[in-house]
Amino acid sequence: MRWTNILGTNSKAFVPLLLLLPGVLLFASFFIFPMAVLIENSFHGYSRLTGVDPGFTLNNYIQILSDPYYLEICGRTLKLGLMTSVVTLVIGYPIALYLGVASARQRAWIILLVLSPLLVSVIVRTFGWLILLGSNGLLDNLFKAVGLEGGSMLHNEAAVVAGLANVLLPFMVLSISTSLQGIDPAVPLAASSLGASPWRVFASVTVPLSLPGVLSGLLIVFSLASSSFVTPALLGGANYKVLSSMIYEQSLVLQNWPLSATFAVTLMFIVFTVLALQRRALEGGKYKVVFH
Amino acid sequence: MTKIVRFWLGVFAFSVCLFSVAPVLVIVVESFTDTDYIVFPPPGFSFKWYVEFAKRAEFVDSAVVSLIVALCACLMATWLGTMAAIALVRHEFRGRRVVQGFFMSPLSLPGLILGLALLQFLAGYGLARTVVTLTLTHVVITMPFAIRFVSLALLSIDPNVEKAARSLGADSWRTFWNITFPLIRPGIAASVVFSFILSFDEVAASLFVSSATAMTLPVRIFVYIDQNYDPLVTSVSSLLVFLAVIALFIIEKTVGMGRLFGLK
Repeated sequence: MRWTNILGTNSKAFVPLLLLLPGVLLFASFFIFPMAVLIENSFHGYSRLTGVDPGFTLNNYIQILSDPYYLEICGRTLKLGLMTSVVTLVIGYPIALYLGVASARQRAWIILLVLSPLLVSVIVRTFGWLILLGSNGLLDNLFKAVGLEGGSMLHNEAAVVAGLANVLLPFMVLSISTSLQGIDPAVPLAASSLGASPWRVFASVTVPLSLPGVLSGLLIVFSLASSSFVTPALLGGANYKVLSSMIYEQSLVLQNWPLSATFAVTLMFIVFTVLALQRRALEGGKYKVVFH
Repeated sequence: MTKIVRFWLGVFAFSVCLFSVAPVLVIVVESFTDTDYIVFPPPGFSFKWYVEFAKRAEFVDSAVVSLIVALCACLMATWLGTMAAIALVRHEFRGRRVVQGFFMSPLSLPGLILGLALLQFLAGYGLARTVVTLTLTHVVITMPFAIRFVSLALLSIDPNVEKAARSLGADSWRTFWNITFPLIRPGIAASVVFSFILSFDEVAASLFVSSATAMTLPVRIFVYIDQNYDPLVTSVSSLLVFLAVIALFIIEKTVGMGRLFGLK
């Protein structure tokens, strides 16, 4: 019995099992089981005096889906995701397009500059926005220098969208570029040799063929924006509440575990629905590119 | 594409690059301010906020915690990830795709939710939140990337090379250490560096898994900014930026930023 046969392709089934076991054990105890605990907690009641009530109840879900204050928060979360994904699309598409025509050196620089913020913590990038938009910040002083009224531009939806668009732009650019790279250069060439103007080629060939990437980028950014916590918390201020701020507040501040778990499950439902659509978009893309 | 369109696209691309790096640049510049409050652009140059950082025990402690956690997490994630990648790429077994999806699933889960789940699990079972629990949490978060990078490296090598070594009498261990490992080293390096930086930067899950005695640096920064607004955190944040620059340098030398994220 050669149990050391770790690289063989026709080895016994227990070899991959042995290789996977440590990872599976870790995931089971630090991912799957805690998630089960979380979901279970969302079906419990809570009272400030007696703590978590062991009985099963749907009250938390009913409360979130009927309380106008909570519904407004859900709506704001969806709106934030939508606005951020549209803004990153408008900024990201031209960049992805330019990557296709730029010289190798320019391309390398753009990729470096657009992607490198991914290596810096979200907390640092968001803090940078506080200095850009806050009172005595860059924009404030710039406005004052040209005689306009400055002041803090923080604590509103626009600030949160700007900050999130900055943080999430790389995902949009990556998604669209991958899609544009997948277009066979012969296709736009064929269109123009058949007499189509450059604009026509762009509108009827390039854009439709890049749609899977666009859609997938929109959905990725939507799911990341609607589940972001740090940026809305710091740039949105105390009155700008989204689902993630409710999760934080209910668990770490108010210690109401069942309700915070319910908010988490609600957010998870939104994110998973969007990601399932995204997977669909990517699969659809494979069949749309008929020229391959 | 016409020349004019190309020119304006270039101008636009340049401004977006500026937009991308602006918040990071602003922080690094501000960290050298000589004022006691945040004002941009800073009127004078000094290192006083770096000195102030070194005097604040809670920030230094958090930096040490982050360093230990990131170091352990990146090595553990790469080790477990390499084992899993070998199983997933080099072996055929029933349910392989399911296992693959299982290991990739933390990617779709918002860090905040994972953190909350871990908090309720740990507290519910009376387990303390320590450096160990933080590390294991970060391994769960970074392992999908480790598996992906090592799998890509494994897929890119010619299986005949391994077969040749085997047919010449090398056993599996020898084949792995002498043939496979050197060939997948760039993927392993990418995995270690990226996992390290991802772990060092992580906020959302760590916010819940951190405790008063074991708090990572980004969480410490968040808690501080939530209450205060002064240049102290600009120096701390700049340290995170310098670390990212080092990581960027290593990544550019080994795999390249574009390839790391799947661009050709």
